[in-house]
Parts: sequence; C-alpha cells; structure tokens
Amino acid sequence: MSKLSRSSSGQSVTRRGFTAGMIGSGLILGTGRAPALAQGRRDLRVGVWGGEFGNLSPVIRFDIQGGLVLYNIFDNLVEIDFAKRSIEPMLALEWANPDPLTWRIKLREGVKWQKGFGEFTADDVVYTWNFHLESKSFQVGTALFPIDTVKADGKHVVEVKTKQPFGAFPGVTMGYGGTMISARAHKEMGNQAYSATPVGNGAFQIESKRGAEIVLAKNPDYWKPGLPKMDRIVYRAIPDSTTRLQALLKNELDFVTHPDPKEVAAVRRNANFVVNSTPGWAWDYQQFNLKKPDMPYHNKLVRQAISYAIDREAIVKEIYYGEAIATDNQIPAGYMAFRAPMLRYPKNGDLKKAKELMAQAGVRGYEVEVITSDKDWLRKELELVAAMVSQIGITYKIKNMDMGGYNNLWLNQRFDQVLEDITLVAPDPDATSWWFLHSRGTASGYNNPLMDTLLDGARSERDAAKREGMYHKIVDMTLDECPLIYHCNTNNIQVLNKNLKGYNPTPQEYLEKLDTIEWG
Amino acid sequence: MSTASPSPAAPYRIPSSLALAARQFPRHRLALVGFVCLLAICLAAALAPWVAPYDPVQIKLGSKLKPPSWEHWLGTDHFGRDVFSRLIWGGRTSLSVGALVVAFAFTIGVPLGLASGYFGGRVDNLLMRLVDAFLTFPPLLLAVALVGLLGPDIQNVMLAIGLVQAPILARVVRGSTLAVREDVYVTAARALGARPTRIVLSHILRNVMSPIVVQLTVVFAAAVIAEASLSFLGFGTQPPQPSWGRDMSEARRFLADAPWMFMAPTGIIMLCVLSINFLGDGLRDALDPRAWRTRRRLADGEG
Amino acid sequence: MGRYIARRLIQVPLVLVVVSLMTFLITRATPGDPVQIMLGMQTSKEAAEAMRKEFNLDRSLPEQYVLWLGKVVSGDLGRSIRLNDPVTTLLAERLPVSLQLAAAGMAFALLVSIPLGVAAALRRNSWIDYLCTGYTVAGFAIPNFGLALILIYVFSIRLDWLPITGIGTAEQLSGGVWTYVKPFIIPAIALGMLQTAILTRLLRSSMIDVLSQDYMRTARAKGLMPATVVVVHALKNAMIPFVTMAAIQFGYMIGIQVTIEYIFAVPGMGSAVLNAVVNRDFPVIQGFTLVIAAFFLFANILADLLYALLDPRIRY
Repeated sequence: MSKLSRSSSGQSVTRRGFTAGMIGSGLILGTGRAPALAQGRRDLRVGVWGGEFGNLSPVIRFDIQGGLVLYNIFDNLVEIDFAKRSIEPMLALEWANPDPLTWRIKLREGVKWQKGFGEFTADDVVYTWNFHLESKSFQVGTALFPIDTVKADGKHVVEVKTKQPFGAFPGVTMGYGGTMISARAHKEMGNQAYSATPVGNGAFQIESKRGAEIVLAKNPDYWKPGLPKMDRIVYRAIPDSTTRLQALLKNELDFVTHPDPKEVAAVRRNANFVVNSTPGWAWDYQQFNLKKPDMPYHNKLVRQAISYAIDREAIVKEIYYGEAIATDNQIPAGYMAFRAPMLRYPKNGDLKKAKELMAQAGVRGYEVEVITSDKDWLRKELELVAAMVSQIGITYKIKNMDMGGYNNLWLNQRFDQVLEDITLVAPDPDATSWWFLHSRGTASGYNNPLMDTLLDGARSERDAAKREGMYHKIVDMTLDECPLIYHCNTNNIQVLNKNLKGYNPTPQEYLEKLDTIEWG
Repeated sequence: MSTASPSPAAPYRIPSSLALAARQFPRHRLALVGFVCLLAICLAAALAPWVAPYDPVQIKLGSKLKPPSWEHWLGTDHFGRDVFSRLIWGGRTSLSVGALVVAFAFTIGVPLGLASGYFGGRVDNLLMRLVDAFLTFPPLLLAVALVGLLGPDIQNVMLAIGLVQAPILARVVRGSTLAVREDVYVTAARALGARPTRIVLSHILRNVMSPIVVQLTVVFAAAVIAEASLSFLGFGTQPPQPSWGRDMSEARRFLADAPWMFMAPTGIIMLCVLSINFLGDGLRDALDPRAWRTRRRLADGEG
Repeated sequence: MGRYIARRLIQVPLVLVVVSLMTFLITRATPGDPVQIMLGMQTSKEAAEAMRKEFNLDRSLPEQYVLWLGKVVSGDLGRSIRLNDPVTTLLAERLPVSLQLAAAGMAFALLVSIPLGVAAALRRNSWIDYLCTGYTVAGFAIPNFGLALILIYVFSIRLDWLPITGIGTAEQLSGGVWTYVKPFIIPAIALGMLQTAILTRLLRSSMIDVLSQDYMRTARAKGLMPATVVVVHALKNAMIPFVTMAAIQFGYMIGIQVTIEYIFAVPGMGSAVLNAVVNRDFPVIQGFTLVIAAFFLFANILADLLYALLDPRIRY
C-alpha cells in the first residue's frame, strides 16, 4: 500500500497527532494512510448505499456498495452501449464462433494491470475462468456454465470449448463472469487479500480502504487515452438513505446513489443539483417457495389472485414516487422480445377478479410468512403489498431480515415467500428469465418441463426471430403461472452536484463508471 | 441506592409501612401526575380496540399525510393511517415489552440477587462475576446481536432487553439483601432454626421490596426506550404492527412535510418514560421512611 | 488500596472470559452461516469447506473456543471473515473514532452539567433550578436517536449551521481544527444528553448535601468564609461522586453509540458490530465485544481509583 500513496502524508501525520492529543490517548491511530486531499482539483466524494465495504473481488460474491466500486477498478471483456442497448468490445475485441462449440476471443493488446503487475493477457482470462469453474463460483450457475475448456492460444487469443451451442456467450460476460482478475497478483496475494484490495485493470486503483471509506486514485497506466478525468474518488458507504441525500444537499458529498425517491422531486427543483433517474434493469418481485409442501399458493389460481390484488401503480406512486415503471413480466422496453404494453394485469389491480380466483381455487384465506432483506424501500413496499393482499383474505406475516438472516433463509430455501429486487447486468431476456424460471436455476423450486424446454431452446437458438417468438411464449407462461409476481422496474437514480460534467447515466446500479466524470 | 445501614426500627415498622406509604404517596404531586398519565396510557392501550378511532393498520392512500384535525386528532401518516390510533395500538407493543421485561427481570434478577446477598461467599462471588459479565455488554449491542442472530421476533426483543436488565436488578437486590441480612429479626429467625428459603422469602424479601419496586420502574423505562431504539434500527417490532420506535423512524422522512408524524410517537415515549420516572421517585420516597425525614429537612421539591 | 486494585485487576480477565464465552455461545448457537453468506448459494461444497477450515469453523465448538482464546492471549483477535482484515486492524480503525465520539459526548455533558448543577444547587427553587429539573427530566426521557433527528432537522437542514456526516473521514482529519470539530457537535449533544442529565442531577444533589452539612452551615452563618470560598469548597467535595460517575459513564458511552453511528454514518465500534452481526462475522463480533467490555471494566476500576484519590476518607 505504501508505494501507492503519493500525497502530502506529512501534513496528515500532524493532523493525526492533533487528533490523538484531543482525545487524550496516544493509542492506535491508523497507519498513516493518505487523506483525500484536494490537489488542485477537488476529489469526487461519492456516497453509496450500504454498510462497510467488504469483498471487492469479482470472483467472489459482493454486495451493492462493493459492486459500485468494483466496476471502476476493473474493465470488462465487453461493455454495454446503453443508448443502443448493444454489446460493444472492451477488453475482448473480437468474438469468433468458428463452429457451434468453439469461441475464439481476441483480446486488446497493451492493457496493463495496476500497481506493476504486468500486462493483461490470455493467461489471465484462462486463470479467471478456470478459477470460477474449479471453485464452482456462483457465476458458473448464471453465466459460465456451458464452458467446457479454456485455453490460451498465444498471448492475446483465448479459445473456449463449450458443452452446448451458446450464442449468448458474449452478452452474458457483460456480468460478473466477464471481469478478469490478474493471475499473478491473485497468486501472489492470495484469494483473501486480493478480495480485500484487488489489483484491477480499470481506470482507478485502490489507494486506501478503511471501514466505510474507500479512496480510489487514477490509474496512471490506464489504456484509454485521457481517462480517467478525476485524480481521486472517495467512496463512503452510508446506510441511511435520508442521511446520504441530506449530506449531498449540504455539500458534504458530490454524488449519491439510491437517494430516497421521495426527495427526488424536491431535488429536481434545486438548481444546484442534477438528478439522473434512468428506467432501470431492476425488478421488484414476489417469489414463492414451491418446494415447501401444503402451501395454498401451490395453486396457480391463488398466485394469479395475488397478482390481481396488487395495485402496481400505487407501488410506483407511494414507494417510488413515480421513479419506477409498473410491470408484470421480465422483459422491459428496449429488450429483445419486448411487447407493448408493459402490463397485462390491470395497473390498479382487480379485487373482484382476485376474489373470484380465490373462490375458484377454494382457498378462503390463509397466513404466510414473507421475508425481505434490509433495503428500506423494500420493507415499505412489503408493508403496502401486505395491505393489498389482506383484502383477499391473505395475511402476510412480515419478517424484515438483516442480510445474514435473509441469506440464511433464502440460500437454504427455508422461506415461504420473499419480496426482493434484482438488478441484471446483461440486456438479454435469457438473463432475466432462465435463472428465475428454469428448474435448475431457480430458488423457488418452480419445476415445469415445458418451461425448461422453452428456456433451453431460446438459449441455444441463433435465429433472432425464432428466439423472440420463444420468449413471447415464456412471458405468456410466466403471466399465467405466476411463479414470480413482478411489481415494477425501479429507476436507477443518482443525484450529482451540478458542476460535475461527463457522467453517463446507466440503467443499472452496478455499472456506474466514473472514468469520464469531471469538474466543469 | 437508598438502602444503606440497617435501621433498628425496622421490625416494628413493617406492619404499618404499606399504609404509611399509601398515605405518603399522593403528597408527591409529580408522582401522582406520573401515575395518572401512565394509567391513562396503559388503559388506552389495553382498551385499544374500543378507544382507537381508526384501524391502525389499514392503509387508506386517499387520506395520507393529513395534518391534525377533528377527524384525525394527530393527523395521518404516509399510508393514510390515523396517527392517534397507531399511538394507542403501538402502546400495546411498547408497554407489553416493558411489562414482560419487568416480569423477566423480576423472575431472574430477584432470586439471583437474594441468593447472592443471603448466602454470600462463593455463591455470591460466582453470581456477581456472572452479573459483571452481563453488565459489561453494551446493552443495545447485546440486544441487536440477539435479535439479529435469533430473528426479528417480539419475543426475542423482550428476551434481549430482559437479559440486559435482569443482572442490574440482581445487583440492586443483592445490595439491599446484604444490608438487611444481619438485622435482628433475621438473626433471630436463623437462631430459631428457620430454613433459609423461609427466612429469605418471609423476612428478607418483604424488606427489600421497596428498592426492587423502584428499580423495576427504571427497568420499565429502559425497556420502552430500548424497544424504540431496536425498532429504529430495524431489529424490533415487525410491520404492520404499530410500534412507537418504528413509527419514529418512518416519520423521519416526513419531518419537513408532516412533523406530527414524528412528534406524536416521540412525545408519547417521552411522556411514558417521564411518568414512570416520576412514579419511581414517588415510590422511592413513599417506601423509604428515611426519605420523609430528609424531605422535611430539605423541604426539597426535587423531581 | 493497592491490594484492592490488584484484586479488581485479577478479576478482569475472569469476567472477560465469561463475556467471551457468552458471545461465543450466542453467535454459534444461532442460525446463519458466515461462509454461506460470503460465498453464496452456487458455491461448491469444497470451496465452503476450505473456507470453514481456514476459519476453524469445521472444528468442534470447545476446540474453536480454546483455539480462539489461545490466540487472544497472544494478542491475536483473529481475522474478519467478510473483510479479510485482522480484527486488530479493524479495531485500530474503529476504536479511535468511537473514543473521539464518546469524548465529545462527555465534553458536552461536562460543559453543561457542571454550571447547571452548581447553579441549581445554589439557587434552589429558582427558575434556574426548575430549568435544571426540566432539562434533566427531558434528558432521561428522550431516546437519543429522536433527539438526534430533531437536532439535524433544526441545525443542519433548517439553519444550515452544522454538517450531518463527516466523522471518521479522511477529509475531516486533513482539514483544520474547525473542520475536525464541527461534525462532532450534533452527535455529541445527542449522545451526551442522557449523561448530562445523570451528571447534572448527581451534582445538584451532592452539592445540596454538602451545603447542608452542619459545619458548612455554621461557617456560612458566622461569615467565616466568603461566599466564593464556600462554593469552591462545596464543589470540591461534591465533585467526588461526580467524577466517579463521569468515569463510569464514559466507559458506558462507547457501547451505546450504535443508533447515533447509524444516523450520522460514523464508522465506529457500534456500526462495526452491527455490520458484523448482519453478516455473521463471528471473529469481529467476538473481538469487538471483548474490547468494549474491557473498556467498561477499566472505566469502573478507574472510577474506584479516582474515588479513593479524591476522598482521603476512603480506604480499601
């Protein structure tokens, strides 16, 4: 770490000395890490949702606040052009598919790992994907599962053999699976140390990491000329959404994520700040544990009744204050296979129909435990949804879990029903469907052979028109069977100081790249 | 604690002490006010289904964020629920947490304290080290840990708060027991061959009752605040069940546009804790005859 | 005296062992697996096993505890499962922040309670006495997070005088004195309110006690001492229980900051434990509670010592 700090540490030491004097105790005062001092230009201060920063390695699970930082440390094989909703090359320049089971990927030359860990080569890609496959990491389940073998062909070409035709391969590497780690750094540092302060190949490198604060510094060897614009970014994780936004409004921060949507309208009227609210690739949905026996919701009529009981417009208005779009399915506008309208279920629900369905199902009402995690907006949404379904006799016993408790129930499938949100990285209907509906992918235990066939077929189909037709069928089946009940696509919102220029808003929370942002 | 030296007058004071206390108590004006307020809050909570003008849970988006009016005395919240009704129902949560924590602390703390104080020696040392260990836990963190690890259930909230409060009570009881252990009537009973349990239950317990009662009011107040804090952090009562603490944390988003949402639960928590404190002070004075003398001497209006 | 302190000090490790054993049992007996949280659902059994082995989570409970305790004795509190850093490193980050916040809260409590307590004792049943009573009563009754929110609303949002966040950031430490001090002001008031109430009340009543001692009354009645001397003399005696209580309360304040830390985004010990609980990060929960408990114990011993030093009549 010490070789990286290139700031006025002399001054920081005296300040720390002063602090020590103030509290009358000379003990334990950090390790002289460099402060985020302005050097000519002011550093960018970013406030993100969440507690302290944990793991930052892309080969291990990470949390939202980690993901926000991660994508500024690492570049990906491909990137998304959000305007065109297309996949563009980034570190992988060409994807050739000479035969259905082979992919030859040509890498960009001259990309360097940060902190002197050498050049980015095909060996790093081989190392990373083999790491995923060997550790059976969670990306294997979502994106990398068709990979059979990976090998390097020279320094800049990777050859991948797949077990089945996999047309969606370049697209799915947009997600976690396409972020490479440095083979050398990972071996030298060890998995744990690497995940704490990883060495990436992106625009910024980690300068210091301390509790709820991470300081990123400009990567001097970055391959894109002229980028990044900022010398330094200070990330602070602030758990309380109200505090986070208020800190921005008082100029204690310059950029915040996940502001309380309630305040967005008021902030829009404030000329000192800019609000980016982008229709998001994020879904709020209810999911049922269909492996649990004897629950009334096994009857699809009951699930349909719940979907009819939901006033989606009220959720958009009362929870997200209009910063969301009501939907009942997994394919939003702009995606392949999207069909207008967004909603087939009535936007305000239909209680009469819902009650009819309950009667038809012969269910008179029941009590069920519904869990959600620690996001404050989801907790409010669940309270509202519980009130909606109570009108058709269903009592949601709400359990607001902390992350540990939630994961414990969810990962072990010990829940009855959840309300959760999910953000997807790849703009492809496969990413929004397969994982949630396939019997081998889902946490809900939904098992429908017809659905499986459709999903697998759509995944390997290379003809776009046929593929589109298959996804239409998948959506129709989802709407009929309701293994998941979608509520809305939530906007991805950031609030910025108006003097910041060059930021490209993204529809999803993980990809907030700050390399082009600068003080205007 | 006010139970210092054993008073030689103790034995023949006992019969009339309750009557004396009952006569003394109403003279403590603030204590009376506290008692009346607390009684009103408790009654309202107990009779919530009849007292509360509206359903505290039912969401009515049409009438959200209404300021206080004749229809809604304390206004409505962001889901259009009547704030006054939620306070009354929320009282059930907070007060039952308080009451059950008091019961828990009493059942655990009093026997421990009595045993420790009466038997002394090894038992005392062991029990008090255990109490020390519990007391060194930061109370709110212990509660967060227990509720976080066990799951967000109201029973777990009570257990967590009770585990913090019981050792404090045990220590108070021990101190008072030590003070009366060597009193004439106890030594006499011992000399007559009474069994320890009998001595403890019939002689010591009734003489340490007053510090217990006073400490229980402190426990009650602490429990109300702890429940609010836990709910504020998201570890407490689960929605839609109303809770003063959770309503406060919800209301902070509306501090500018609907201050009544915040002021109402904050006010009721303060009123409740104040009343308990006044009541506790009054009880202390009423139950401790030495304080009567002090009071007369100081002519002191301390609350 | 020396023997008493020695005996108290010997008991410290014993109490700490009990504390750590309780924390250990609480964390292990409850649902939630840190490895699973860390690695996720799709992880292989082998990866999970390797990680469990790395953190000794594959051993039997008594073994785990003994291994942990053995390391603690040599000053090693283990490594955080989620953050990878050694627990001692995390403590080095968090403890100074918490100490500063507690010190700020205590500074506020002292600044208010001493003048208010003395004035109320000297002018009994005057407006200042009633103010004192009202203030202490309110201080006991308001939950500190409620007060924090009101203060933020008034002084940060409406009046725009003071910042909300900033404690423990590099920016705060690299600025001037005012940059350093101002983020502490609101949290210190919110945190120190209860202590202010306790201390004011204590000082007032012990001042009244001292002033009503027979010798003091005689001295004042006979005009043997000028009024200021009376006050100084009374204060000196009344300060004995006051200082003791302040020391105890300081030890206590380290552990009650969690709501304040949450609201003001303070990276202190409370929020670290909160995050550790949420992620079932056992080594952090164990290490941090141990240190918080030790602080509380030493504050109590310090209080006893101060009591003995200040009051020559006390002999242990």
